[in-house]
Amino acid sequence: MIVAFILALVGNNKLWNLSRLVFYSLIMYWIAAFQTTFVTSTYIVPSTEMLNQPWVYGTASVLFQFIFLAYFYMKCSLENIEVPRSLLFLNRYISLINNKRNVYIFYPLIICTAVFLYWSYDSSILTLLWVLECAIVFIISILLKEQHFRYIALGSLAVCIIRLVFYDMVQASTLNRALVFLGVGLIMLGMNSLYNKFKTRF
Amino acid sequence: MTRGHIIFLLLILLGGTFIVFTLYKQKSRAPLGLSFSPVFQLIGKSTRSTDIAIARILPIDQMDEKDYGDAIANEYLLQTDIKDKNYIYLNALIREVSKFSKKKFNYQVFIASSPVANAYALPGGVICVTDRLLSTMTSEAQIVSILSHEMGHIERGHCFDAIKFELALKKIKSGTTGQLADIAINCFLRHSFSKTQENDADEYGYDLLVLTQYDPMGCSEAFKQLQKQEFKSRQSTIVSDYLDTHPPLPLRIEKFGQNATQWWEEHHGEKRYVGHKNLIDRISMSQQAHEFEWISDGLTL
Repeated sequence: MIVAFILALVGNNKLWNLSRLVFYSLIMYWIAAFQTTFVTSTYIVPSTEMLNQPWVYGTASVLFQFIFLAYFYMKCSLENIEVPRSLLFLNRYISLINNKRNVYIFYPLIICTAVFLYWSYDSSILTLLWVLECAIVFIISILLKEQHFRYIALGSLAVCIIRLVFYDMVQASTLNRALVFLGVGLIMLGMNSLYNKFKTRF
Repeated sequence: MTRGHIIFLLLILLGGTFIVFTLYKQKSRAPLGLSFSPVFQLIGKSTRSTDIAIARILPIDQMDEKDYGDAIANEYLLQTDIKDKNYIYLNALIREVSKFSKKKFNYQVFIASSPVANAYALPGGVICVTDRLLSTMTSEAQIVSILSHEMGHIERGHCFDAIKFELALKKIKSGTTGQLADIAINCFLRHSFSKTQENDADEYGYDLLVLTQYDPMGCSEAFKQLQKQEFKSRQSTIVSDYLDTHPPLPLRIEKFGQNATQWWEEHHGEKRYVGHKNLIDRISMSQQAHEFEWISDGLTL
């Protein structure tokens, strides 16, 4: 992710005239999301120290990727990217990504984060974490004013509630159940108030 | 070329010159001259990551591997003399070491008869050690480092990845097809990331050794004992480096020797166990610890 940040910063700098680095930073970000989900989440270390656990630096990596995502969305553009003659074939892919920019930059992280949470965290708090992710996607739909994010957020929320009722009720301990139910309830209340406040954006 | 490009190029050249100058001033000497092994280790990471991703996607998990390992262990048990002193000794050691394992396997060690000092890990917590290895090593810390390395292969899923298709397709009664798929992948891809896996297991083994009460230098010392077995001097070529399944021993000796030295520098006053007599008597430290086997700051007390 550090490399992705550096590439995006250098590519964005008009003085350097290396705009294709912005596209490369997007590729590095995808690779980082893949690596965090499929490799870091499965990594086993013998140590029991908290800071050495893969889920800790995996979570930090996911947060870092969200920060990169925000920076890329606000500051980087895939238009007017100059590539050298030997890499002209990249223009087709760049324009393909640029046509549905938000889909290609948001959905990889959303999907990888959901899978990372599934493989890294205990099932007793998984529903709560997934609902939290749904809330974040819902907020993204408000900020970007794009309907498909809202549909994904609400559809995933419905799946989480089904899991909450049919799985967590049976598997989790009483305290965990109480905490997860409370947490999910509070998040849903928050989403409802956000929807009421920003209804006109949809 | 724009001014930005020229400045960028100059920065890279200056940075590279600085690195070369610093290395020259420090008179750095690599233990193995020219070797492509570190490059292959680095390149192997991407193939290894893809292999891990495929294993994660398949509908198989730890319990499948455990069942597989239990079946293998039962086969080995039929041919093992459970009263053998070496068998009892090694399993006492693995019981202590496996307390740090994250996978819920019943770790067992079996002994194979071979004139070569070797150890290998099988899926589900089965480790095999040759009798020659026990006579090659000189301390219990070295044996524990070998067992930790093999545990690393199991904990990090290297053994599991090697049989993933067989386990997956067994669920739909096509185990043989799965076996063929595993063989094909291992034949074509194994060399590209076997060194990466060995390095991975080395690092796990060292981290595990540090968590125990044994001397961290045991890892490097074990590699030194294994190096004595290599009769011919190693000529490094790009082809031999690619085909070798393990990183070169001189590199491993230096790496973990430096790690252990640094660990002792950071842990002044701490005591660690070596266990020369324990290995000779085939009695583990947990059963009988000798005062003279404890060392501090890398030196005998």
